[in-house]
Amino acid sequence: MFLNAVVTFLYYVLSAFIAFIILRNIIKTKSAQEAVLYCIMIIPFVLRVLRLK
Amino acid sequence: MDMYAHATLILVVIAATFTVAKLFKLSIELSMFAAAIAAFVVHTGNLPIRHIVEGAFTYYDVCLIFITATFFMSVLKESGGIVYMVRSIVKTFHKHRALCLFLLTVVLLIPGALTGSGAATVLTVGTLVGTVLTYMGISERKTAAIIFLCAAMSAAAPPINLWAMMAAAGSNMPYVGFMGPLLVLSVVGALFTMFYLGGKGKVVDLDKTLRELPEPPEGMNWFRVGLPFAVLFLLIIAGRVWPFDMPILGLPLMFVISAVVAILMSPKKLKIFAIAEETIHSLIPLVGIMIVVGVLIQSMALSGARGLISLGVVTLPLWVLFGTLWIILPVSEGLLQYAVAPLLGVPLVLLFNMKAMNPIIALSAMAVMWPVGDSLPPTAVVGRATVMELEFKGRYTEFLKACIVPSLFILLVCTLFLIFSNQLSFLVAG
Amino acid sequence: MKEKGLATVKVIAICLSVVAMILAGAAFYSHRTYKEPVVASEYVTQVKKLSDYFPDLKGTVNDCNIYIFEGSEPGGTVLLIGGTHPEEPGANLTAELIVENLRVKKGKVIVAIRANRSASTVTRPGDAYPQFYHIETPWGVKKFRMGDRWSNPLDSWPDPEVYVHYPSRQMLAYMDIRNFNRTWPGRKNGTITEKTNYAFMQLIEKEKVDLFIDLHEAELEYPVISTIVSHQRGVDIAAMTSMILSSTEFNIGMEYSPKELHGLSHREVGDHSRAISLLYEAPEPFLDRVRGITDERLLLTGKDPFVMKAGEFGLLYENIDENGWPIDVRVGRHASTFLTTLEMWSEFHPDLPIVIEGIPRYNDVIANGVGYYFKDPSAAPENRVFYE
Ligand SMILES: [Zn+2]
Repeated sequence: MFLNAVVTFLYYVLSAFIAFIILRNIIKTKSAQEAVLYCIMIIPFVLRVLRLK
Repeated sequence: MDMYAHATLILVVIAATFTVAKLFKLSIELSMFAAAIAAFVVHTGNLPIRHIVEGAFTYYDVCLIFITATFFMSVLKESGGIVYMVRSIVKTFHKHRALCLFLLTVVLLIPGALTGSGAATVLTVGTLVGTVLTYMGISERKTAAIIFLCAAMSAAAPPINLWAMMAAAGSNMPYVGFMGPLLVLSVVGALFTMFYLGGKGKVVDLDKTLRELPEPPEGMNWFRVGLPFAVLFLLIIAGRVWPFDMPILGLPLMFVISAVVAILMSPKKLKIFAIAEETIHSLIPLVGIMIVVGVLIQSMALSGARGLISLGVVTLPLWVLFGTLWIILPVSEGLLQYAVAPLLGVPLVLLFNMKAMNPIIALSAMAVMWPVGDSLPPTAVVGRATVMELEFKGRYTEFLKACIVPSLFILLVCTLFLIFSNQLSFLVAG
Repeated sequence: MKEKGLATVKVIAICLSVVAMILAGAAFYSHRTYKEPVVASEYVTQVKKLSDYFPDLKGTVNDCNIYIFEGSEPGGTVLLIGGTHPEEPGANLTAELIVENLRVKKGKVIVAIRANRSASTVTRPGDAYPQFYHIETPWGVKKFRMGDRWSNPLDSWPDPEVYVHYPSRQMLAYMDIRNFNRTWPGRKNGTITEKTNYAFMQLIEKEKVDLFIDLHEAELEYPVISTIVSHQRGVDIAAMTSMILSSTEFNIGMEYSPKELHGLSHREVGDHSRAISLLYEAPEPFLDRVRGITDERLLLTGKDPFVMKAGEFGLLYENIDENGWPIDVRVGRHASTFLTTLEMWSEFHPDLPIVIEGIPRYNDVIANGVGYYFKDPSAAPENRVFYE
């Protein structure tokens, strides 16, 4: 079904959006600990968008 | 080295690293991550990057649900819909204390029920309901306890209970049939708390209360508040009634669609991007912890530490579990947050299956006990959020003391559900 | 200075994060794209693609090979599938052993080694599976993909809020829409997993399959283990097979496919086609939740002290001792069960016999090791080497 493909695409967009916001947070944050945590958190979202996992 | 010694060593390494990291003032998430890495290194003598990254994916779908559901609630809050709801309730029912308390309980239950997070309840409706409660003559201390425990019950309430979902996923058990038992337990728990702590008080001074609450935007009405919920509800129903004609949307997209409806229904223009960014920002501690917990679980599965814990749990006699779970579950929640669901939940579900108990009732009971511990240190995520949001002036222990009686009541009811899981099987449906 | 320190931390953290993404990403990619060579037996008649039966699958990850062996004399037709759940290596190894060694005298044998390829391209997050396992052979080591129970989310995303099974409308867990043994008989317009089931149903129809066999392994904590699960139309064959095997080679049970449980092959294939459906389960301690160290050794030897301890507490449905459940034993069980099933089939259906040669029995597989039966792809003629 064509619509299913659209939905799947939207999920990649959603993942990319979340990754993007985490990245902005990495840049903006004033806390070193937060920055490290964000760097861990961003990994699954990026790998999903790249269709690696 | 034999496997018992090895797995024990890994557990010691995890506990030690976690403690040391905390001593060095690392956040709970980073301490847990450090513990996982230490376990990987000690077990493999190497740094298995693939395992670390794979573990981070463990709760990917849960994270997406969590993020989109919270986005939905944030949009409702920003559009003024929630203020409108609370004001309407107070205006219409201020003369009927019981009815008013009941409806406020419902309002408190909604955000957590949809997002699975007590923090979402505290952040979206906590202050508003808290204001009303204080004007109903309830002390600040008791108000804080009510908001926290209702938030905990909202996190436990269906459809989204993250503890049950994570434990069910780990035991190859469908997350189906939890609606009934979770609803009964969480509603009973929330109502008891509300009426036990807030049953007595003075008549609301309507004018004063309304002046204290923020104004909803011009043009807000019940239709505008209700439509996004109706859409969400319809999408869920439609997916079940016409599964073969509808595209597969999944819960995250359903929340996004409902959020879009809420944006369209908002009488004032919303900064969508800013809300989305703020949502994810405010969720980072919780999403972060889920991702890190996944890494930790992977390290424990790899090294046999998970097996050892599971083995320890499933070989305990049932009466010991019934007698101690009510204290173990909240305390472990305070210690490890969501990590406890896969760690303790999965082997317990297995044991309940073996002992021919009803695993859905039993897991539901546990999944309501866990959030009660969200006020306990070292994490105390929801408890601290409550005290902060309500600007509670007293000491944290005072707030905790106010929670004791209703907490014990909830834990007692849940323990009874555990013991009589089979007799309560009729609750499992849908 | 403070600012500078923060910036340094950020740069280092980002770099480490990127390095982790590259290394892990490369590992995931190489697992997902690894191709297992298969040397089909010299007696193979034809090797088709699943998409020959349902063109929608052409070019997708699930367009697996379909190995067809025809005897010189006519008879019945059996379809055997491995790889329904690629976290159960005994299944695809048995199917491959058969493909590499089979000779059919009477009737027709059709084999799929990786029935749900998608699930073999991913391992389960949080469970720390090895990505590959290795089997010793006389000519060297043969490498296989370890997989998961569910199709790869990269091939089927998102999952529904609840999975409603087609056509029974039974409600199942959301992720089971990616479980190849919960999606029978499949759906033409469904997800990749449902489409794959549908394609196999088309195959069963077009090739006039009489007997359908689905290979599995299970954790010892699971009640359905060391058994043949049979559709009600196959109970005579399954019962006789179980009786004969239990008295001659090893203990194996027989149970009826529950009527109210939908989406499973032993129920739906029998209900929706002319074929009789059977499902074999062998023990795989690797899948147990109480297992100790999760590694390739456990996967292939089935030795685990924690699982043994659970057995002492009466928590298991199958015995386990220091000898574990080695892969040779598990493959041997499946091989013998298959052989005896065909013998029983031919006895019950003398007009549609299926008679085969070249497949080792239980004791042979244990004595020689399963690797003994795999051929060297580099020494085989090119037209007989296929990739899974
Ligand atoms: Zn299986």
